[in-house]
Amino acid sequence: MMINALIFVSFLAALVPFSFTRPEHTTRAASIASTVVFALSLLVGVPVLLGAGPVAWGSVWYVDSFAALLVVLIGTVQWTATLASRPFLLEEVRAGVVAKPLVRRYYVLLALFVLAMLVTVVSDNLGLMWVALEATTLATTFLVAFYARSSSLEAAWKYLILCSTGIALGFIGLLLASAAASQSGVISALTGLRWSTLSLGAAAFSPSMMRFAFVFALVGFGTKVGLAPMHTWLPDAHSSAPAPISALLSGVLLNAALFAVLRYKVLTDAALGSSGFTDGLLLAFGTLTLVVAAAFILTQTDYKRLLAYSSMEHMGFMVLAFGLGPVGAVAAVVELIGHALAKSMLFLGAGNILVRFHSTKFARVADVRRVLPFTGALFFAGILMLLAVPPSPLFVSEYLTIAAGIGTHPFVIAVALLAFVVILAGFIRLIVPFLFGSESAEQPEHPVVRGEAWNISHAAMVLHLVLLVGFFGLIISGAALPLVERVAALFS
Amino acid sequence: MLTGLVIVSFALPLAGALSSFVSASSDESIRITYGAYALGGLSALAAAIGSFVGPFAGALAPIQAFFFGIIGIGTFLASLYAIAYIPLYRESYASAWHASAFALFLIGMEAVVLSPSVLAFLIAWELMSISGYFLVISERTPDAFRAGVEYLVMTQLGFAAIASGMLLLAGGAPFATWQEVAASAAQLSGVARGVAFVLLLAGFGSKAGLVPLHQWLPKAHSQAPSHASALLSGVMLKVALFGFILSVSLFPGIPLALSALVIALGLLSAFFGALHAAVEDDLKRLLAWSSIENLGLIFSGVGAVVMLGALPQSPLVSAMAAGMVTFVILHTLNHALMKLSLFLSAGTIVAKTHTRDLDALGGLAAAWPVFSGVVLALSLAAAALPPFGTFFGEWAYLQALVLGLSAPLPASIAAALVLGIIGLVGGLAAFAFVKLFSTVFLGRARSEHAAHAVAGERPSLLLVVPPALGALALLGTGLFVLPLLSAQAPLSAHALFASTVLASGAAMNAWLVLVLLGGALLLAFLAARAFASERGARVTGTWDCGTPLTPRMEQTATGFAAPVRFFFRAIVLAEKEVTAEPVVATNPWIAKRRILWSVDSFWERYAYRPIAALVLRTARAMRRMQNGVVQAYLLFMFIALIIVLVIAAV
Amino acid sequence: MTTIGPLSLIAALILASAFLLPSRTRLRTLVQLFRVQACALVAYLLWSAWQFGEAHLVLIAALVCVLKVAVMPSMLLSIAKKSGAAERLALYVRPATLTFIAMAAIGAAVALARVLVVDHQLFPVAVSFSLVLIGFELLVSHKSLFGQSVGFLMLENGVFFLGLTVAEQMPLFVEIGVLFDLLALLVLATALIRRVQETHASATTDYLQALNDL
Repeated sequence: MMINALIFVSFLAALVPFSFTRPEHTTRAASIASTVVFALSLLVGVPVLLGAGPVAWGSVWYVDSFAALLVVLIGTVQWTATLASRPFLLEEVRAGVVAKPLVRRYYVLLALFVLAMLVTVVSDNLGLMWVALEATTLATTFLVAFYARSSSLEAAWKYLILCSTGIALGFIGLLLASAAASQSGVISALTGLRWSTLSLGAAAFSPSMMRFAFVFALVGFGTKVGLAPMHTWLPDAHSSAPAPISALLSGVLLNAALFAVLRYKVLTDAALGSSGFTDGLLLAFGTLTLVVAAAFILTQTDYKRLLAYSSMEHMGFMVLAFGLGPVGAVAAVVELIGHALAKSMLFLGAGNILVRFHSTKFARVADVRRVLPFTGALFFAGILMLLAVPPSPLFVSEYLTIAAGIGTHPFVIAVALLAFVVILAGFIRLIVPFLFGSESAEQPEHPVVRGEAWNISHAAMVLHLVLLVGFFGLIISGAALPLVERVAALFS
Repeated sequence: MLTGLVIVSFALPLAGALSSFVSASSDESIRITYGAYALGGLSALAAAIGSFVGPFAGALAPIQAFFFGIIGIGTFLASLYAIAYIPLYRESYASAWHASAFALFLIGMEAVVLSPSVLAFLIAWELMSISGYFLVISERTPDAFRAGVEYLVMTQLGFAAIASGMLLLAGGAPFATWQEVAASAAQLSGVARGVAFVLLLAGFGSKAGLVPLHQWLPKAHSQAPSHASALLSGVMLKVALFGFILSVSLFPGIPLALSALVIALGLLSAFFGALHAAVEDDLKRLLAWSSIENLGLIFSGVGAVVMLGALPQSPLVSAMAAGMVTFVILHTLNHALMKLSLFLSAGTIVAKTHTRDLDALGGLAAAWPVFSGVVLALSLAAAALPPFGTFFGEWAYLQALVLGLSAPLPASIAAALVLGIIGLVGGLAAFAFVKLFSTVFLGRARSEHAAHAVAGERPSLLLVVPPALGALALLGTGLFVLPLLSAQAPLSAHALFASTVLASGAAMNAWLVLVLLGGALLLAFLAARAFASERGARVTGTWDCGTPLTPRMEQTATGFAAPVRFFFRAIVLAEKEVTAEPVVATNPWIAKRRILWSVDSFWERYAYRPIAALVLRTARAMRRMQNGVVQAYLLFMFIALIIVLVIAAV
Repeated sequence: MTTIGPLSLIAALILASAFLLPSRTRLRTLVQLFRVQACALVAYLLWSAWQFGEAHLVLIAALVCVLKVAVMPSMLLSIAKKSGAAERLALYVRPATLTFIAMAAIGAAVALARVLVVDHQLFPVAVSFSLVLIGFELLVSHKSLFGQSVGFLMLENGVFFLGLTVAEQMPLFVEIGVLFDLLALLVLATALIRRVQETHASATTDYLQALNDL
């Protein structure tokens, strides 16, 4: 019921912008709709997280603790991103970069995107999950191509083709899993695609079939997660999209795709009897993703691309942690929450910076702290959170990952830690002059206006920061540990 | 009561930081903020002292109390100094961000020493390191940013090593306390323990400035503002030492090879530190290299204590161990005091003369007699001369080595070798500090800046008092601490510091040395008076061969160090480049000549730069993957799929 | 390969069309060959519906006919004509080489099918994997965006065909959802292609290589 209400209201939120033509009205209506979606997501997710068992409705929806966590995260990030879209879009319209009719299209696509993500995580039927995941690609293609630039077109085409190809491979994984299920005779054809039933009977599935199913699911859905070497669409798409959309793409869409991969991991582990095969693959892909991301971050020239590669790095790290057993799963869940909040916060800040400086290149931007005092300070806090400086939850996840892996996979941990050092060097080398340096390498085309008014994007960033620090406190004091363990228990 | 003092020492920095957000740049607010920090330091010192003697003795472990006290002293002196120093650099340092970074740095260090578990230790360590980074980049110049990046990279590598080492020992238990870690370490295999030890040595060593992980130190400490450099050099390095001693105590036993490694690295650092200090011509970098030298000596002492602890116990071994332990304790305290005070003095010099270049300074002794006296005392202490505490610490070290000469054959050769190295190190260190004092204070000013400073007003009281306090404290450690250590003090309660009685036959009474020195000085003075001419000294101009004397004719620091540079040219990679430009094309003999001397770091040229270049080359090669061609991207996906399918089929 | 019933014949036809596709250099031919493939798919569906008596397969067959035989190919051709795209498709590799690669792909598909399934399903599954692999080949070898679209559609055909043979009961609404996802994707793709053609006067990836990190 609650879940139905959530999905229905998200659908309505997509229709709402059609009834208005002036941008100011559209943005206000969309903000209200997104607030309702946020409230409903809390109502759906929080009870499950706090210990009430999984919630289901018919054979369509199924929300266990991991799905509930993602529902709450999607709800929160879409709320702050939608709210922050308002000053961002109005500024872009005022500057003539975006035409007024496009504002309506933006909010419609945004709401459809959120709807598709929510359906992905709450659906019980694996086929419906696939359809919804593909729908997220479709909904976001024209958001990636939002600006009338040739680079946006290029990014959108690559995004569409690569992600859709990947998801098609994922469908092969789905078919093989379904075949394994029906061949085992344990699962009746009628419930053939329901994850809740499949997970119960997975122990009887054919191991070899499930291995291949997982391979297709990992490589296929892993494209959408941003794992190397299938990640190549990610920097282009995340940096071409408008900043609040990038916040959603980086913060929650990658997690939704990871959710899909993990659903298949659970089934495969049950069929194979041990998690050795899937863990090995996850470790391999995670390490490769980390190393590739480190190479690109070290020599980056564009701050939105830097944030995109950083998302890739954190996804790689999460996948690596999920391959390290129960402690690693806890670390990965903490990382998931921390990264979603920190990365979306940083993209919101990047939006403000882009609107002021009209360039995403590091060479053109400097002294952000003085030009945009509020955004600069909050962006700086976000960077510290992202770089795992206490009190960031990412510090705890890094620590727990070292603890999980140092005894069993020391070389993997060593490579991961070295990659972190390279990434840190890259970030500091680029971000510190960006925020604190007084002169940029190239002169900006237009003189940069100094000073900034407080608007809702700053309030959104502050909210993210408070949630991050609060979560850190809850983890350290142990209060949030049962919640996190409940989520992570699904994978051990 | 003790808890109250400790809480106050944490709360006051926080309060000071918060008050700086209200208003940061007025003298009043600086006084309040840094005054609060200073009081916090005093409170920490009181807690430390109180934990040794007094009503709540034994509440803190002795080693924790010792290092906590050092942090307290450092905080007190540096904050007091900062009250007068920061107004001189109002645009750069008088901000709430700087004050908060400073406060978090202090809190981080204090928390590191007091942490009961691995996680708390690492959180505090990271806090300390990151706020240290922001102190290093306070100037926000490109040089400062570069130094900051190197500092941060090394600190992260160190963190990775420390976290890995500790968690390896703890067997992967994330929330283990120290007792649990020690218990788990006893269960590990020898190989795992060895790996963990090397990791911890690398991690703490990189923070303490052990060669070859020391390259960040001279750059970072010279770029940071002086009140921060003082803490970075004087206190943070000691916190790294604390971390290392703490890790050593977690092991059930350490193989001889590994403790020999510690000794070797310590001595190597001492040598490199002293050598580079002798050829360095930047005031603060000289002090930073000196820190590397001293920390190297302390690490070699710790290594020696560990090695001697593992050998079969005999009177000789325990006597040597006692000497080494005395050295470690004394030198940690003395070096902290000395380096703090020296950096604060350097700050005063730089603030007034606006240059760090030794070749541009000079003549300050005539203008600032009291200050020069203080720095003279500090330089003598740095060169380990009596009656200062550093002399007695090194004496204990040498004592132990001389005792080792009477040991059976391989050990005595090793002891003789180490004795030789220590002699070299001590000589180079003395050379470096003679160079420092004489070029900065004696003679005449060698540049405009220094001349202005000489002619200008004297440094204010608060810029001179903290270093003076440090010098007095160094005198005090010589006179008072040694007897304190020689008796069975509570400090010996910790296993590492057991039996601190000096070896028999080598007792040293500091007061006797002071009296002897004083007597010798008095004798010299009287003799000078007795043999002086009746007419008294004649004051006249210096004979100058008809050419007016200019400051350019004085010996510079570069010239003074030339013999050392020449002798060790293979290690310091000294290069000399002479360019001659004839003034008139027809006459090649009259030319404008330019001489460029350069010194490079051995490690940087043969290790750091190649590794950095390799990483960059690899990164650039990997970047070719993102070539913009979508068909290539699809091909990558395809290849990944095929490879994983093959893996699944096998 | 055991019984050579009508289903196997239809599957062979599908395989033949897949084999011929990579070497086509004219857009028209490419699309028409794709239409043939889709028709064969419809035929397969109808025959299976008649043979196994499953009514919903008829509905799906109708949908596939409407979408994959009629709507999608027409959309591609009309957009190509309207925007004035070149009829000759540029390729990265020679057509002859592409045919060899297609043969290798079929071999790989057979190998994969042998590992996965038992005899009676071997041929259809091998065909479906061939479609997937050759679809990949088209995606990688065509410079033209239209060629890439056809390659992707063929890949989806392969996945769809695999679903028919391997998964016993795919819920109707999932099948419909998949088909409509594909339609939406093609709508978006053609809109993008039209914009690319307008911006660069060429619907190929030659002008879509600016975003790189070199």
